[in-house]
Amino acid sequence: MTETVTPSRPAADARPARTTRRRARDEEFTAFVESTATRLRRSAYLMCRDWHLAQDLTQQTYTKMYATWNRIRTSPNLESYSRRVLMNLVFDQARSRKSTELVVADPPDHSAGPPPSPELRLALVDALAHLPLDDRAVLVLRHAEDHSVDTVATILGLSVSAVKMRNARALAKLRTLLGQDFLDPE
Amino acid sequence: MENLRDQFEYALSADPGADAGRLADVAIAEGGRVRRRRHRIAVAGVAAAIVAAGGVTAGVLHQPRPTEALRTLEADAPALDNRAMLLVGASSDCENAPPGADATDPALFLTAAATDGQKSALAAALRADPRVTGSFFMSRDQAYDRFRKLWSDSPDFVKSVTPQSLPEVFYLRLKDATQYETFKLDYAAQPGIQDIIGSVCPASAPIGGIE
Repeated sequence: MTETVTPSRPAADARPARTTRRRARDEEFTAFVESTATRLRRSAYLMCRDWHLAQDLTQQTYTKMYATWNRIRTSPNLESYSRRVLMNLVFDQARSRKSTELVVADPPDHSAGPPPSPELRLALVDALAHLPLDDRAVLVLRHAEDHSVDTVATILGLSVSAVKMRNARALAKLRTLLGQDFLDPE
Repeated sequence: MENLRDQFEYALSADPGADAGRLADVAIAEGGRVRRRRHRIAVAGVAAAIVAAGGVTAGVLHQPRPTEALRTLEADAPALDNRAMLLVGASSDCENAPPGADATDPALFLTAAATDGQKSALAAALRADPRVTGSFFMSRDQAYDRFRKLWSDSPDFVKSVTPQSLPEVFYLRLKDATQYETFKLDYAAQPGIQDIIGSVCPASAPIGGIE
């Protein structure tokens, strides 16, 4: 039984609708990247002490996010989500040796006291490198990014008390590394 | 430098900067590839599962090329578990109509147990239905032929399927896409019908997107 009649009325044109939707999606994604890239890349830098690697990690984070953009685009806190992706990348990289030199580089040796002013900028970043990755992540998210303890806990998949504990421990360590008057987080 | 926040700011003052637009472009190019690869695997998996579960609608089998199915799926990723998503018409011009939306081209999938009597009753009803402007029937053998060609690069998958695991289908074109919902209600309960899935096709596409 085969019977074909020419349709008497134009049907909806599907292709332009899809192209338009894709373009809108890409524009939305690009706007998201443009408004969040600087902060994300800087946090990546604080985690790994290397601007090139930070750029790389940032690129990978956005690539992963674009691959699932349809699913995540309406989630209420995309920025937290991006931090989670970034931190997982950092952790993964540290786990798979070789490429870890930069992420968990041997800490520099001049950590006894507050270094002279021109070095001040690097001192904090170097001191961070002395901390375990998890603690470093807590410090970066909590103090460089100003996220609440709850948000940090969500991003890292830790309990609130674990975040508080790591935070206190990391601050104490930083204080030791950098000297009392250098640090005043509250 | 009172607080840690300022110290972080200072530590970051050597930021060499980066082109955010470029970051986005690369992510779109690379991420798009990742997504397509993932869907290709998922679709093959879903299709295999459908076939293994008895074949029922297996609309994916009517794709001209798997990649076309993927492109449509990509637009609505979460629906992978929805069999209806797999029917997107053979032509890339057609796309699957979301539930509740209008559709130009319904596909009536028949149950494996549909009798010849039920089939001719359906054919007669469709012929007499003023909402239907065009139709054709795809037999199991025709479906199997298409399927073999479509998946010729996955011989193992092809081997796992026989004509009996594929459904018979009436492909239709409606005069008016807004009639789809009532049309579907009228036919969904007819004996011999397993499932009705709507596609949206441009007027230039063949019925159901099937060449």
